[in-house]
Amino acid sequence: MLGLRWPMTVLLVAAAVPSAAAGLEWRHGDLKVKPAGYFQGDLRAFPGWEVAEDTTGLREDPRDIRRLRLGAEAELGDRLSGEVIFDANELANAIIPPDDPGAAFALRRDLRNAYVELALGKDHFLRGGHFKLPVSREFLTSAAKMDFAERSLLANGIAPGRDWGLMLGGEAKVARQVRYLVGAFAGDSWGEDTRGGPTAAARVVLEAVDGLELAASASIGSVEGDPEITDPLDPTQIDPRAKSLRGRSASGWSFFRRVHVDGARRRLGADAQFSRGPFTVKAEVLHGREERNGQGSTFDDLPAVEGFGWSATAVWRVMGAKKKSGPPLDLAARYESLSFDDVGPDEGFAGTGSRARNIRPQSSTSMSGGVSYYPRKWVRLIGNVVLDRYNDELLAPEPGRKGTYVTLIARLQVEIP
Amino acid sequence: MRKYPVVAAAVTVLAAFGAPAAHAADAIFSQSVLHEVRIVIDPGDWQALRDNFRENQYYAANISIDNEVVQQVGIRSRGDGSRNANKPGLKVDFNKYVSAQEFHGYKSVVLDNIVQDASMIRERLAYAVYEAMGIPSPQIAHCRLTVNDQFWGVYTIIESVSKPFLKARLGEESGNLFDYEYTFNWDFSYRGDDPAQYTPLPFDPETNENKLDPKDLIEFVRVVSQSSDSALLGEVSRFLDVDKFLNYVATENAIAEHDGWVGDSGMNNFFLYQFGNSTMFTVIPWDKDTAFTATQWPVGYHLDANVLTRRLTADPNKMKVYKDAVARGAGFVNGRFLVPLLDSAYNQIRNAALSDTKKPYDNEAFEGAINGLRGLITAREADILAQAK
Repeated sequence: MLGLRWPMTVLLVAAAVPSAAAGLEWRHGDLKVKPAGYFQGDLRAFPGWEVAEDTTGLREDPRDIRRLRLGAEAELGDRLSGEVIFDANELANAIIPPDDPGAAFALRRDLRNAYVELALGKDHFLRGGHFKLPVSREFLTSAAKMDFAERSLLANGIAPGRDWGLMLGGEAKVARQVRYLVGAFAGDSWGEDTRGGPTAAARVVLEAVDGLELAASASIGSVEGDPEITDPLDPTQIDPRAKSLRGRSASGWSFFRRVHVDGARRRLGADAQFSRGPFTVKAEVLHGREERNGQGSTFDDLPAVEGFGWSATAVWRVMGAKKKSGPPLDLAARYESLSFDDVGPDEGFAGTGSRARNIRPQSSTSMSGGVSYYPRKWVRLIGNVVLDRYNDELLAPEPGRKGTYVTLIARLQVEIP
Repeated sequence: MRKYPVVAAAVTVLAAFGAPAAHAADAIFSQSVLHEVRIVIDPGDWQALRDNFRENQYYAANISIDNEVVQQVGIRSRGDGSRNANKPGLKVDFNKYVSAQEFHGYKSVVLDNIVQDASMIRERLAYAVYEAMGIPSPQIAHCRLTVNDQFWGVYTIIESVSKPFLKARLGEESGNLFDYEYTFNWDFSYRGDDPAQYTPLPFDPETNENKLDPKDLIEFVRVVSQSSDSALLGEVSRFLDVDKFLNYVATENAIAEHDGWVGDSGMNNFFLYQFGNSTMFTVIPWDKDTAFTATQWPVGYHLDANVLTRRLTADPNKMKVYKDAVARGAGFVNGRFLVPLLDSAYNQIRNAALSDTKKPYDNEAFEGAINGLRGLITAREADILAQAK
């Protein structure tokens, strides 16, 4: 019976929530509130490879509620708007065996958006609250609208997350149309242990020609390393956490584990998107660099760690580009890479430890193919094939095996219309 | 031996017939060679490991054992009383940084710094006796260790007591393995039903850490303290093969070990394993570099200081089982069995030991300890047999 609960719940949600929520809106004077959210349920397979029994991180559960975003959007008059969104996937996984997700709800972990936006005239706005830092195009794209089931390597590994802050945004015409987002944040990922300190972030998008957007983005902040344990017998002292960038593939495999960092944390990115008819091509590069002051084994300064990622994506809307041409069907392909190293000379022992002076370089190259089908406006079916390769076969999922690691993902997504 | 020639001969013959087939050593633990272990590590990390030798902080390193290279292993300082900054004892985890990495089927090994034994070979001889007495014990061999091409002395390379050991020696690995961590002078008396009184200290779980249920362990300790005299054997037998356990303690006293189950300051230096899907436990010896304390050693040493051994040996039948085991031990704790092993080990390590400048004793002490140990094990048999009558 347990085996049927998951698909039954999915069907229930798919059938009941959208229809119940469609058109649902609560009004009181100038205040309008409507529900928002979506559900993503995944099936996964890793044909031809497996990891050691005690490996953590791999998204091994073949049936996973990947996201269950629930919340509301609100508008007050013409100038004020906002939204609050939580991810209840852990709650759902707690209810639906066989997952063992830990706490069903934790505010820091589960809060996604919680912000208020004030329109400043017709073209500008001021946003305050908890939301995404404006850096990576891929990460700024809603998880419900991504081209693939999993975000790109660079978005997973280098891009900042959500945090509390104030952001000014808008658009202006300076020869060509320019959009901008500039913000100051309390950190760069409130819900993560790896959160940095106060961070400034900005993103500028230039509409160079019709259908072509060119963007540049950056964030600068700091990250503070955890203090060392001074008394090993004191249970209140915990091991310092490694807080750096990381390399994690779509399967969840960590090919570059976090190292200890302290000091400046900088990200610099650029991206482009070109759309013409049913075709869209996108490219993005993102560089991250973090200092490692006093993070050596003898509290010495270490060379900074840096990560560099790039991705190129092509999407073809095979059907549904025009009204009455049938339900939309997209084919997509992505080629990407993410690599990590330190900025120091490649001298001495190159290690994988979290305080390695000479970091053993790691990189992954990934190719993804995907199909998305929208049988209903609020329903999306996704199928992905992800082919991952790792430069260092020693640290591949199956140590010593060089080659391709295949991940298959099928997703049902249901949105509140 | 001159005093008890007939008994000694009989015991030796019985012991030889009763001894289990020797466990075939894996190549990395072969005692026929002095192994060569080389570690390559960031010099800063090695310094940090030595500076912080009381911590279990791991550092990445490459290691080669007899020219077989394993990359990106984790090494850390280890030991209790033997923790040392000058000559660190090391634990080598092959899969600390590389998932599922193994070496000859082992996920980890220990590089023991042997700083508490001037002869450097006590532990090797002790495990030989345990094995001869039918008690599975870790494999051990001597090695030369170099760190970043600098000779760091003579070490022993010891098999970790972990799942591969359990599978190979006890036949299964699904149960609860506890490393007994000495934290206080404990005599196995009942400490109440609060699991925190038992684990993670002193019983540090090495397997099933995330789903450990120590209720059987607690119940085991409880029945040892609280069962009536008449019910004791029946109750304890639910948790322990009593005769095998007495054989273990008898071996400990036969080799004059002063820091074991019936040690000077309470229990120490063993692993306790609860078989999977069973309430039965067994004891595995560990860290026997303080064995062969003295020629004259009471074979009933400290039996009365431990609740379990005191109550079991209060039964005349079990005391006889114990004494028989002690007498059987004399078949191995003697010059005939151990001196060839001693001489073999001594000849193997002598040159390296004499050039080991990290050891905390001089060469004279090393040679003296070897000679003293040779004399001790030659004379120990008579002392055992005199007491085991």
